[in-house]
Amino acid sequence: MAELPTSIIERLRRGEGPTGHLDPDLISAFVENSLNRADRNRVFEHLAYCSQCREISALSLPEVPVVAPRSTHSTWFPWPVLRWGVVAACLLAAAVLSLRHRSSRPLELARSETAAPDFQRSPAPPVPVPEASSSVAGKPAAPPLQPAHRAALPAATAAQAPKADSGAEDRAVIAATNGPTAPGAGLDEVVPGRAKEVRQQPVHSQLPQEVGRASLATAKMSSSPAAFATAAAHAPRWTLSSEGTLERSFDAGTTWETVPLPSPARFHVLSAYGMFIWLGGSSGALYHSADAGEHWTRVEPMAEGQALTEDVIGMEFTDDDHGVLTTATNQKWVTADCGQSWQKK
Amino acid sequence: MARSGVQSDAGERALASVLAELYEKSRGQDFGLTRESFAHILREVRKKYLPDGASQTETVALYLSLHVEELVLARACAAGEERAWQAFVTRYREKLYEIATYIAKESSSSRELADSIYADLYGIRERGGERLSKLASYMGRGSLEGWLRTVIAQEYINSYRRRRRLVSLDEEAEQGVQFVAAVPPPAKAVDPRLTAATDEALAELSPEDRFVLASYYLDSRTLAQIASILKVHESTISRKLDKLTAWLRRRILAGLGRRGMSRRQAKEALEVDVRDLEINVRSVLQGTADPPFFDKKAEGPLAKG
Repeated sequence: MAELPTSIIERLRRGEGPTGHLDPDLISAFVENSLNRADRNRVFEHLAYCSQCREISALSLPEVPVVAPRSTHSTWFPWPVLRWGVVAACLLAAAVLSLRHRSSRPLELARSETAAPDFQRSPAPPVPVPEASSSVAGKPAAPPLQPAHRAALPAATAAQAPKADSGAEDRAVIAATNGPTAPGAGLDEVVPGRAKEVRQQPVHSQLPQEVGRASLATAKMSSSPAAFATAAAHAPRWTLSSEGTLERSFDAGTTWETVPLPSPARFHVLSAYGMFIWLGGSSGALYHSADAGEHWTRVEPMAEGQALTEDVIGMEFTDDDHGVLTTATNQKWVTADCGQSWQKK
Repeated sequence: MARSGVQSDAGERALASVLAELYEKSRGQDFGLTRESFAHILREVRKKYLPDGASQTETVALYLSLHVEELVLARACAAGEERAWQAFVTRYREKLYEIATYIAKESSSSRELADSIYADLYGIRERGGERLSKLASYMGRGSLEGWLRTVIAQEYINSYRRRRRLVSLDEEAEQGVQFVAAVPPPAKAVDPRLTAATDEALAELSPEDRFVLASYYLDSRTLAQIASILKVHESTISRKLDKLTAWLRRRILAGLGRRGMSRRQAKEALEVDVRDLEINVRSVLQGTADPPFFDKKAEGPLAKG
């Protein structure tokens, strides 16, 4: 990084100190990037000269992971080359494994080609979807799959049946970029709030590869923790914007895309595990996807003859089946079967 | 005249429709907020952020950008509505302490900070029989959580500055002249042509560019921190700083050239600063310089006595 001569820094410092300061609403809206262009420029005009407001803006940022500073020294293997080299090596190894497994086990890959995420229930063997239930509206089922045309990784390889592993359970890491991670919050603690971050555990087994996001759902159908580990390694990251819209990233947070949801509900919390994601929001809105948000199922919890109508403000799913919802009135709704039945506590 | 009357009626109807839609979205009825009260709150926001002559379009755009559900919750809390407080406590109380812990780092001062903010939000002080809640000043431009962060950050900085001032005065009273502020060294004469050329170049910067330069060179923020604020990648900030630095040098050299300096003289004037030499010697004699505020938040409370 080129240094600025002292003379320039001194003149920059001399210009500091406007009268008055920005109000917290403007600073928070600026930090959240929710101001229009004109207001944003006005805020910049103030921040350019006011060190106190700059300090407050920086402190107002949500907690983010510490990133190591970029090295300014050129090396034989700069980070971008190393990163893609590692990815390419992993894919090559996965391709070799894939070829070896292909002959031993047939793979079911069937997926309806739908460009946009869909909230319709997807009837897909081997998990049937009940039409009506007194306890729950429907179990979210894995959609039928076919070789996906879009790969989550730069180079896609053919999917294969999962290989059983030693039983390690791995979890997806989701980025709670819009809200703080509760410091010291354990995996079993339900914290009312927005996106939850689940710690990732090491992958121990040799795992099948996937062709795009859809094929990872196949791993669920085979009920293999090892397959889940693969899914977890390639699962997207999720976040909820300040407006309650859902966003996902398939490139570790470099780029984000909004996931359109036809529900008008405003979402407050989400919990993701591999390719599965639960989404909770206002007026009891609860949605589930088994394929990283490509298809959605509305879940309507019922317990003791009552439906869930309150805002869902907390959510903790240890896997796709077992979870606890917290409502705005601090009620707990518990499921152990992926939302088929619920208990109120 | 009739046409403008018709347009005005159409505009009023459109605004009324937007207000109705936003009222439904805000769920104000859950907290006993009437449509009229809701409209009054929005007019208050409009008055604060838009000039008097703002158009209907600007008004509607502002209203649609607001976090109305959180705005109504905050205002209901400020009015003492019990259900609103229950909802607020459930959603935000724990978050308040988390944010305070993140900002203050040290647990006892973070607790104190969070308790103080909570009291301000609840409104333990009264004026003319009315409770003064800080939540009444929330305008819904950003999320309520983001607003809480900013309020906590503000209070943290204010209390830090208050503590520093108090300690300095106490020590001065006890110890006498030892702690009187040192007389600043006499300002070194800097070539006025350099000053003028530098000021001219800095004035050409856009506010955003100046913000980036000030954040990096004056506030000592990292690239990652600046990138987080601007919602861009760290490498974007790195490239931007390189470009700005190079551009400033070129503009200042050009400005010095216009003021009669040769290229060599201009480069020397820009690169060799007598203050740099003095600063190096001073820092060796006095030890390291005072760290920027941002790092100071890692320190514990100042010891007294």
